[in-house]
Amino acid sequence: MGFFPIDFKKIFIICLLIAIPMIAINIQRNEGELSFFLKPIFLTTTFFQNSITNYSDSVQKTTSLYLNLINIKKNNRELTEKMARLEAELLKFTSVQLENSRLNDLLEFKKASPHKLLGTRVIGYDLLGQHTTLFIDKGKSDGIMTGQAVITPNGVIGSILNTEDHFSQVLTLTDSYSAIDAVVERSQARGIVEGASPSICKLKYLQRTDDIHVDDLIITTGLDGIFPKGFPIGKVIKVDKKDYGISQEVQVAPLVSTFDAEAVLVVLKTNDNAELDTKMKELSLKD
Amino acid sequence: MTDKEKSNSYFILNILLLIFICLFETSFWHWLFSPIPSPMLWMSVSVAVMLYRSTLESLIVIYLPCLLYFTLSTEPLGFTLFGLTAVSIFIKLLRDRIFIPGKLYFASVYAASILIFHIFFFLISILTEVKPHSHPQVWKWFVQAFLAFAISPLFYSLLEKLNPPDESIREGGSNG
Repeated sequence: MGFFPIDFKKIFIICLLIAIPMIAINIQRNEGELSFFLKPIFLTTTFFQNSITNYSDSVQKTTSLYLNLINIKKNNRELTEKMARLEAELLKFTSVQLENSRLNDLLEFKKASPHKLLGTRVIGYDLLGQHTTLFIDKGKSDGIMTGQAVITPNGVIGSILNTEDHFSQVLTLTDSYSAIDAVVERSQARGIVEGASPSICKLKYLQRTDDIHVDDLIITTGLDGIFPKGFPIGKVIKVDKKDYGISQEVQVAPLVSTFDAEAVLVVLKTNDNAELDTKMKELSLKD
Repeated sequence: MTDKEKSNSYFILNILLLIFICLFETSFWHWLFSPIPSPMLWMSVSVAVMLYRSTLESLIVIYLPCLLYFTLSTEPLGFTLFGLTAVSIFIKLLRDRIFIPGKLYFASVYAASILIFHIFFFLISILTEVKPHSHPQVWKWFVQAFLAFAISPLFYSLLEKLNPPDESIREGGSNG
């Protein structure tokens, strides 16, 4: 053994250990595909990473689901209540929308009509049920008088029977006490529409020879000074011409159901003769 | 409060209940249940008074509310009075012969009263009016009577409380 014993084996190992990192420092990471020797390592690690992550996720989800069951139930109850409330609101909204539409129709009809009309609301019906009368929320203080016509845009309702300061009673056209001067629109055959039952009227005093068929429209004559001229009353549903007698029995179904009317119009003043009056004045001026 | 005072105050409550029912029937019933004919709920109060109270009280419950009926209907006052008097006579005659305290008896009398009221109404219209009711709505009468029979147990306890049947009626019924 010498004064400076040299173990070359150790020196080599030390140099190698130093050299490898030195060499590795200078190795550049290239973009693109991995080196062939790194691929298996990368695939293995990612496979395990992926598996562990999936397992972890599922465990986490199951745990949170289990832990949140109470919250889910609570949320479910709240949402159910909310849905019921929204459904109720939707129903209410639809109802209001329909009412709004009906009232709009009434308003448009009122604006377009040449007659002086008053919009009223139906507030009640006949108590005893033998007669069909309505109560409306306007009366004398609004200009309503006994005998005035009550209509809707779709047809005749009846006439004012009694009136007080703030409400009035309407005798509907289907009541047995009601009588309206009417004509058949197609043939101009004239008769009187009288109430027979809550849903049927009769057209009386027609001549046996008068031309009338099922589905003919019956309209007001306007000659009574109560109802506007040419306003629809109902449609003929049955014509009974017997072998003898001078008249024929005609049944008429009103166009407006009394019990469906929520809002009606009272004809404060008809304006049927306005055009005629103007022409007469013009003629008299020319003369 | 003595029994007499209590009975009188309950009688006034009957009248108030009758007024309330009349107003309910002419407005809410139609909005809620139209086109189902109303079962003449007001008649239940009249029937209860006629069944369980004295003749004088029955007469009051016939004549006084007629003013209300007159304002709430087109029907002539005499017709209404006639119909109710007929119902009252029917109830008195029945009560003196058969009286069974309980819901079923009340419901039967109430339903029968509706039919009698309508029949007499129709008859008096035919006999006295120039333009009588030509189409009796028999199906409607029976629907009303059936509804009355079905609904009356719901408010029987209230009417029984307001009109407790006295002993003379019970004895009269059982003796008759």
